[in-house]
Formats: sequence, C-alpha cells, structure tokens
Amino acid sequence: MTLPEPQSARAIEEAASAWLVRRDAGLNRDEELALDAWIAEDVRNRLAWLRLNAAWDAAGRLAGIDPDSLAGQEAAEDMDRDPGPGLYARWKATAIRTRFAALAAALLLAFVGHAALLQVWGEPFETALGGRMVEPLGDGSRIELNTDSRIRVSVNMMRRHVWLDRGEAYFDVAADKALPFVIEAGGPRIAVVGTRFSVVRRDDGVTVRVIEGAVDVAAEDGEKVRALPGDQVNVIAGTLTKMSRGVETLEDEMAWRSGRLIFRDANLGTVAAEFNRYNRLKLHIADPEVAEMRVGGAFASSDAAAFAALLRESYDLRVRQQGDEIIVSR
Amino acid sequence: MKNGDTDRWFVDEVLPLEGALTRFLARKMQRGDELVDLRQEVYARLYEAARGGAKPLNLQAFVLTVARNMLIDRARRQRVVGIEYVADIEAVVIDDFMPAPDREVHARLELGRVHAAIETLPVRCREALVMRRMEDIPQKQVAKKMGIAENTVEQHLRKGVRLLADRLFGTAASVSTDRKAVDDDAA
Repeated sequence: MTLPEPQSARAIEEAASAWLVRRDAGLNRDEELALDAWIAEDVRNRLAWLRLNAAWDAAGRLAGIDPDSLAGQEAAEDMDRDPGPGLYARWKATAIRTRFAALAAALLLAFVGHAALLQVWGEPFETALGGRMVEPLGDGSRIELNTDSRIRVSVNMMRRHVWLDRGEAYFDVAADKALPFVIEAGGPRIAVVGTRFSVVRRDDGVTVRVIEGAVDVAAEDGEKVRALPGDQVNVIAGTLTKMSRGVETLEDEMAWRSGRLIFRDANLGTVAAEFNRYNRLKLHIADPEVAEMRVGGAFASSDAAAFAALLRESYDLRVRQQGDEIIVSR
Repeated sequence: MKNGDTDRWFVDEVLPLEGALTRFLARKMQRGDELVDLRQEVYARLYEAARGGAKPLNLQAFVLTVARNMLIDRARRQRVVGIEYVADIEAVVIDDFMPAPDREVHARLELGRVHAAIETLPVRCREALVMRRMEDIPQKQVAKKMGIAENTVEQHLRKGVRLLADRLFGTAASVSTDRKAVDDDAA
C-alpha cells in the first residue's frame, strides 16, 4: 500500500492564502472552526498560515507611514520599480489621515501581527527591584539584567539591536563581523562586534565598562570613542570621557551578576547608595562624617540589613530601623 | 501543547532566515516547486523541534544543519553521484550562510523593505492590497472601486499576499508557476 503524496508546499500555501483572504472578509462560526481544524491538521498548514499572516500584517503596518520617509533607503537588491503616480499620491494622502488610527490598530494586532511588530520595536525584558535576569539570544549572545532594569531586544539574522530603557545590563556578545550589535541607551549609542561589557543608564548619563573586546561609544552629538578592556566610558550631559580602570576593578563592579557587591576602599555614602538600588529597605546615613568613612568587602546585594548589622559590629555605628529605612549614625 | 510561543519564535527568529536558507538550497537545486517543498520540510522539522521544547541558541547553525541533512537525504534518494556530492554539501562552511554584510538595519529600513516589496507586485494585486491594507477599504468596496467582481478581488489578494511573503522573507524562491492571467481584468 502506498502512502498518499504529501501536499506540495505551493498547494498548502494557496490554501492558506485562500483562508486568509476569506477570514479578512469575515467568517461565520462553522467556517472559523474549519479554519482552526485546517491549521491544527498539519504543521505545514500552520507554518504557511503564520508566514502569510506575517506578510499580511507587514503590509498593514505601512498604513500611516509617510512613504516619503522611506524614499532613499536602501531596499532589498532586486527591487527598483517606480511606484505608479496614482497609487503613490493616494497612499500618501491616506497615510496622513490614517496615521493615528493605524497606531491604535497596531496596538490591537493579533498574536502574529504582534510578533511582526516585536520585530520592529523589540521584545521587552524587565527586572523588579532587587531582581536579576539572564537572557540568551538567538545569535549565541547573552544579556544579564541587573536590578530594576528594562531592555528591548530585536536580534535576528538581519540585525542585532537592543534598547536599554532603564538600569544596567551586562552583555556577552557573540562575534559576528557581518552584523554589529548595537545598543541604544537614551542618547548614546554603543556598537560592538563581539565582546563583554556592561552598560548602566542613570538619570544623569550612561556608563560603559569593557571587560573584553572593543566597544565604540557615540554620544548624542556624534562624538565617538573606542573603549578597550579595562576602560570605562562615561557619557554625562552629552560629554564623553574615557578612563582606564583595569579589568579587575571593573569585574568587581560587575559582581552583581553573582548577587554580590564588591567594594575596595569606597566611602560609605557611595556604598549605601549602591545597596539602595537593590533593596526596598533603604540605608540612610545620617551623619555626613559617617558617610565619608571608608569601607570595603564583598556583600550579598539583597541583604541591606546584614550589611547594616556589619556596620554596627565592625565599625561601631548606631543602626536602627524606622519604617522602610535603616538609619546609620555615630 | 503551547503553540503561541513557538509560533512567535517561528515568525521572529526563523522567517528572517528564509532568504539565506533559500540561497543555500539554491546552490544544490533549481529554484522552483521542489526547493519550496524542501524549505517547507526544513521549517516543519525546526518547528517540531522547537515545539518539543528545544530552541537552539545558535539558530543559524541549526537551520544549516537541518537543511544540509535534508539535501544529503535527497541526494541519496535520487542516487546522485554519491560520495562526492555528499562531501561537497558537507564542505559548506557556516560563513557561506551569512547574508550580505553591508546592512545596518533599523525600523525604517524594514518598513522600506515592505514598501519596496509591495511596489514589485503585479499591478492589480498591488492595487487590491494597497486599498485593502493601507487604506483599510473593505473587500466589497475594493471590488466596486476596481470595477471587478468580489471573487476576483479575492484572487488578487491571495496572489498578492503569497508574492509579498516570497519577496519579504527572501529572494523569491521560485519563478512564478502560476500561469493564470489573474492580472488581466477578466472578471
């Protein structure tokens, strides 16, 4: 007994396109069930369905975009026909009218459309206060998020792009000369080919610390600098500065990756501020003199109370808790 | 079985590789229906693997491996010059799989790609698609404006979305085997 020939890919695709267009015109309940059944029947049906819907949604995304803004961009290789004047003019007029409607519609896209939209805006990842997260990427790179941070990731075969919206992240970027890995942290833009480094975004600026490889940091005004292992670059109020601090020191400052904070001879005020990034229970140093005291050591980032207890034991300071605050004084 | 995540993974991670995958397959076979069938098999195998929970970290390498194995199986089935052919396929290095290096892609460019792809569609397909998707005119009204039957609008849209997918996700895999003159205003 011979098995029936599997349907050809083209035949399945024609069936999928027929379903897609019919659903666009509207399906009754029975037809919807039939469509669900067709999709579930064979993974090839499902794949054709996903693929065509991604294209259909991509076409919809153009609604509301001014076609002039796309002119001059380098498009895919064999596409160079001029748009017919009638269509173009009509599209442009519609684009202006429907811009806001299209944006609202984009927010309500079905999951396939959502996936296509993620391609453009980036998939978000977020940590809570005191949280940490490791995110492996499809290209072999890895991102570690520190406390209270948020990034958006769009990494695929056409580009590698990350937006650091808030907080701090450590990057271990898989080497790929053909596809630079780009990070946007507010104004500054960071481009690498393959390397290990961290980026912190605060209210007043951005700091990049490089452990391995080379990292190009560009400030908003276009001023650029290349940072090598051991270098730290600060972009504060648009001004770029680079200093050489040594790989070991920078790695200590990345100890958060293993849940620790390491200080070498730092002043207590700075240490307390750092702890407060990770904990709801906040350290408050009451006396300015006490804030100038030098402390050092390795501490669990999640335990501000233990650190305070240590201050009481080893530095003979007064420590008392008041609501959400731990007050440290002489 | 949780399909939603795998579906999203397929659209976000695998579809962008279609161009490179198609070019890779085209080294060993004619562009046409058979290539599209083989590409579909690669996708099916990837999807099944991912649905089972195994999403590879290095997707490019994984896709290459699956495609390569399928080409080898196919070569054996067709009894093409055995050992030499197989060795030739195995000699392909991952670098060959990489796309052209000169692109810094960002949001506008991707939309530019969609725009450009739509511009290459046959006139009637393009008209129907632009009216329906960009001006959000219901199919019934599109038929009136184009002066054709609703059925014909459906045909234009069906062909339009298939061609658009081919052009968006990679170089067109097959010379269009659709000889029907859907473009003509025969309605």
